[in-house]
Amino acid sequence: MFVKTIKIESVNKNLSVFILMLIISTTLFANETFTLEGEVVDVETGEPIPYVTIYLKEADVWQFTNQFGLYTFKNIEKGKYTIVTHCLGYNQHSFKIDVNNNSHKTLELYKQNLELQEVVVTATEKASQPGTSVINQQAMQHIQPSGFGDLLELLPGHRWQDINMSQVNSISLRQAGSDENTTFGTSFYVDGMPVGVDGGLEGGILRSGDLKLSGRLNVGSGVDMREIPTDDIESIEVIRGVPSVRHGNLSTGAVVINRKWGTTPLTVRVKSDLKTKLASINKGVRLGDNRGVLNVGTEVVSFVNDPRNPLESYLRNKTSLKYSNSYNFGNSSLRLNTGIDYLITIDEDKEDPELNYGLKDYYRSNLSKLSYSLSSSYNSAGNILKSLTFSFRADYSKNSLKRERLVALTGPVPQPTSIEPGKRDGEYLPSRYKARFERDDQPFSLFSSIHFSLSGRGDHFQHRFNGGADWRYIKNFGKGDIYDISRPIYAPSRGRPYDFSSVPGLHNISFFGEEELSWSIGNSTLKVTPGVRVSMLSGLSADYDIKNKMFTDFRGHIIYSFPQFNFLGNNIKVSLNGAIGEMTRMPALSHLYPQENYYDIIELNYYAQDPELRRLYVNTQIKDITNYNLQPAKNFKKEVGIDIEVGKTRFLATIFNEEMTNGIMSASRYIPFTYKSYDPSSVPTHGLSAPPDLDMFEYEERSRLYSYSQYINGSDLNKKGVEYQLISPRIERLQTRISISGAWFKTRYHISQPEYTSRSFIYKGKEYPYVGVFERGRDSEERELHNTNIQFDTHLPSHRLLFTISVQSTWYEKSRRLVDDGTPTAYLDNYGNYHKYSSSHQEDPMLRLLMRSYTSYYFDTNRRAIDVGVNLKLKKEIGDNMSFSFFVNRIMNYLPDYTTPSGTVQSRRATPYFGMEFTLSI
Amino acid sequence: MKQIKIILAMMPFIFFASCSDDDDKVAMTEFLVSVVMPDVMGDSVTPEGLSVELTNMGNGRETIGEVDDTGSYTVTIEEGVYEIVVSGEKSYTSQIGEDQFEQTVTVTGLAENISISGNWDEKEIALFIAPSNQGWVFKELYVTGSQTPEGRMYYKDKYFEIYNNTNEVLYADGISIGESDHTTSSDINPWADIIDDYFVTHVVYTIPGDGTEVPVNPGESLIIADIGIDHTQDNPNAIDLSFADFEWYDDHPLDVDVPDVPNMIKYFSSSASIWTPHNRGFKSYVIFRYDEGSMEEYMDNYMVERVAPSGSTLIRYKVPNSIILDAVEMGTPSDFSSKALSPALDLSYINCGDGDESRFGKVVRRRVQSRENGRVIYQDTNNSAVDFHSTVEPQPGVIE
Repeated sequence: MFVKTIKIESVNKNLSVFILMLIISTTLFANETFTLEGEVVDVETGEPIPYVTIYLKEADVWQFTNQFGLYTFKNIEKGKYTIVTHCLGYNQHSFKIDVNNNSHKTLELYKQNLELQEVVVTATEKASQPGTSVINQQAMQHIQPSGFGDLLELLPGHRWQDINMSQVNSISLRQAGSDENTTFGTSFYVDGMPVGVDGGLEGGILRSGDLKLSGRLNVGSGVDMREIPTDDIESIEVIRGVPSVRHGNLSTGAVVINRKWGTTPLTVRVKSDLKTKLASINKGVRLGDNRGVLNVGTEVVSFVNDPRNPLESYLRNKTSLKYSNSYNFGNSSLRLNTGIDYLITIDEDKEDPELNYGLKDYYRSNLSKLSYSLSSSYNSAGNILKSLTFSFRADYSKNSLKRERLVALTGPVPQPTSIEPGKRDGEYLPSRYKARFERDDQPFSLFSSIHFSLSGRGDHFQHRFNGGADWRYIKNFGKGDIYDISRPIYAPSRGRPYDFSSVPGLHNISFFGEEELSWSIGNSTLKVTPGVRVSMLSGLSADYDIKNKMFTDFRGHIIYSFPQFNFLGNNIKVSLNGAIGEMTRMPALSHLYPQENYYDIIELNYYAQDPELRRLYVNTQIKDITNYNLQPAKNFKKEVGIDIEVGKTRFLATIFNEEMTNGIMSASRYIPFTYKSYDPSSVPTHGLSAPPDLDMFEYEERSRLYSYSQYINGSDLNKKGVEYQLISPRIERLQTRISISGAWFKTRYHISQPEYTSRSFIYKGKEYPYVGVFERGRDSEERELHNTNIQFDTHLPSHRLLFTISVQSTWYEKSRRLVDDGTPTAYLDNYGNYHKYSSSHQEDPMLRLLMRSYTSYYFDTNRRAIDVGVNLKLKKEIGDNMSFSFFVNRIMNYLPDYTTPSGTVQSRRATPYFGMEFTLSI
Repeated sequence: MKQIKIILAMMPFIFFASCSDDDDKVAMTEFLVSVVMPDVMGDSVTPEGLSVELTNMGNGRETIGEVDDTGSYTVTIEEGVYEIVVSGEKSYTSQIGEDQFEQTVTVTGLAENISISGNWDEKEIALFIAPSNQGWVFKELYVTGSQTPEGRMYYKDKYFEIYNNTNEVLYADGISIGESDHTTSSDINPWADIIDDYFVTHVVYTIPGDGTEVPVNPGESLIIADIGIDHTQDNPNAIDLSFADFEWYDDHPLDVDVPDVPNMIKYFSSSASIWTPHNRGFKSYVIFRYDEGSMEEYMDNYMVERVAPSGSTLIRYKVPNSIILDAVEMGTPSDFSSKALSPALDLSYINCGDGDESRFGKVVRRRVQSRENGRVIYQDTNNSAVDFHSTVEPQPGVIE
């Protein structure tokens, strides 16, 4: 079926041949078999635990314990096996078992709490997928997060940051600095399904500053991490390196979130810090024998950025209702997860009534989002087909913004009102009026996928083939920007209403195939995972170059593990890994459907003292600013790493290089319009009884360049660096573990397309007519940083106490602009003609002004001195039902002054940030 | 009070003098000149050493003397009709907020057609600071704008009033107005190294004409407005500028053009947007006339460029101090940091409010120095702290 689909789509002959070969190469064995069964119990209470996932690793089969906590694997071949258990609220555990006859094995699980010996509160590197940080529930809890962004300090090269939740909170990965393409290129997966983010749209008026949207609007720029509460998360994987081809429509990496599915006590968490108040309640309840588990949770966060200014606030509430159940059919099993989430956020910014003279000024931005997901996963005990998963997710958001205010003008202002191209009369705005603006954005996305895996094994090798197809649909049902153009909220307004629902929907279809091959060569193993993903956008008109065009990503991982050996009594494991891959990120709806630009050129501005005689005559031009050649952003990543374990000490290091030359960015472009400029002084008002006719006036024909912004594939992003991590075993005498995590990043931000730069000034009574075309962007720069976090976590199981000191140090941070000689390569004149810029133009009194000049220190390196901060965190469990936590970040700091290239001395300050929380589980 | 003290101090001398020359044929008068120093100079500056020149209008005979530290000069002279001129240079310190300015000025006073007779006579002469130059002066600067009744800013009613401070007809066409690139609240004036020779402006608007088209009579003024309409129709707190003489019109969607008020020529602006003078009054203003050639030639020869730390080149124009007709430095006591003008052009600065709401709807207006046959002469000592009234009601076109 899969093969057939591929042929219909005529994707890639190589791919289908590849898949066929894999299926044929699968070898089958038949031998004497046994039954392995047993019970899973809580080690403390001895009670059986239902719905525990039991994975028999070597046989590659899954089961779930029944309501009596029992499991049964039938037809198991003789051999050594590893049983891996997974259950919410219990530590993950591996059990070794030799199967020579029908066996019974009781599996004892430990509840996750501080009575245990083993507590991991750092991110750990996933051994089977290098470049991936795994953050478990205990590590998350120890951070005491208010939102997802707080967790990023666990990643190498990151440190604690005071997150301003009144602004969009975007992710940055493996870089010094931050940029939009990284944020846009990072896909967030929740329970295996991507969060739909591409359906948002924006109209041209949103550039207006008075709408208070700066930092608050998140359109076409990936996930706003404020929207992800952490209380419902069981574990997170952050794929910093090369993601598997299962993950698509990304160019940077992926954040894979696994939420809590299963029984939990009623847990109430209350947190308060300097700016945030949080409360959450979660409960996972078994609905009775074989009726599955229902998880219910809700969480409220309130954030005030500046406690002295209670007028600016952010409020979030997320409620989720999830149902899961599992069924066993012999050795096969079926897992069903379905859930519904409702998120509401309120961004409020009131004007201070005193500053505002009691005038009505109202601003409110709401987001509500409803998500539904369903996934069913069938794990087969069969010899070829191992699993089949069907997933479906729908996200529907309603983002509304309302702004109402009384506009009192600074003086008379013309306001063009035509929505049609052409010439007609406009109006002068009244000196005061009520203005109302409403933005209604209703992005909708659907995701549906079918994934399967096939496996087989030979004498010395084992393979698994993962394949699947994803379909995404995005559409916007919003009414868009709604306002009366004759009474704009910000005058004069260049924008026009924009109906988002008029934009057609977009389909993104992709297929992937990935082969995991592992060979045992003596005592060493080699694992190779080549994969390919093909994706395309459809639903676009024929004008778009990318319509139905196939984009192929090849990705591969390799891990070689040396034979283990003993040295001075320590077991030593060494493995080398490498990865290489391409990643394609399709443009979002807002990139493909920007609103048309309106240019209102005033031809006559006749503002007579007598209002009856006034006349405003406007030439309205409309420009479609869509870039029909826009391509997806493509990133190419390479990395190699080493993973060494000496006894219980683990050291990891990765060197990486990423290059994306065609990131999507907004760039300035220019278009000429010619128009008539009528001279008002050529018609005196005396003798007039009505506005004058145009033919009475003297006029001049003029041409001028007008600017617009267009999305282009012009952002060139190069990331390189080294990430490292060292985790010591717990030093018994001190009950302390030391973890060192750090990274050196060197990131180059560059614009690969010509940059158009205008100069805005009046010379000899006329506007400067030229626009310079430059090869290099003015803001191209290279940034570098080296950061190390050293964490000491002391765990006293007898006191149920966990105490961590984290010394977070940015050794240095550098930025350097890329040298530019300032000479344009070409220029546009006021008629839009393109001219080469030659050296003789540097002597021309007007054209020489296009040259850019820089201060002598402009390209010098700005090196910020060391920044060390110490963070303390403490958690104490009081009995089995209560825990208390407390943190102080930046309690001690070392922030020496440093000198910038311009010679000024920069002083820095950091103030401690503290908070506490209380958790009750019943 | 001051005068009484001086007279009391003189009593013994008067008595002594009146007892001596009693058998002369020409009728002689014991005459006392007492001078009153200008208020702005304060009590600490003594009048000692100012010269007094008495000219007998009948025979032209001149008598010269000096006042003492009490401001008195006593002389025995023939009876007759006299003209008395007092003059001399004095140094004093003026103050705005915490800023102090030390300056030497010419102090003068005049009494005409004084009839002196009898044994004893006296005349009190009020002194004033003599204008250092005469010609065109700024009479009023309205840069802060007004507020609407709702408390919103309204800034399209700004204007400048320039005045013919001479006794002859002057032509205004060819006069340009400029606003300093430097903001006086900034610590460093980027143009400090040329401040003794040039003023650097970011706008140049010029009254059109060949130098013979816009005559202005002695004692009359011109109003240069942003928009020449009656702004009170839209905003009762604003100003009626319907009688403005010129507008600075910016061909931009934020501006409107009033057909009956001629526009100045916008020779230069560092921005293609609109110009509105600095709302808190942190900039300085000049009027100048380039006489050596056309404005086109000025444009070709006086461009200056500065590289901003952000990596862009700023284009500005420099105005030689020698062609500046009048200059006014503006700042506020709370924020004034550095000068945009050479101290030779304006020793101090004048404030309109202190960056607070008191500035709205208020102007700075030059003080009246004296009147000559009904013609008002405004004080211009190149020291705006004493030459101007700070934060007063606008009176565009009103000369009094």
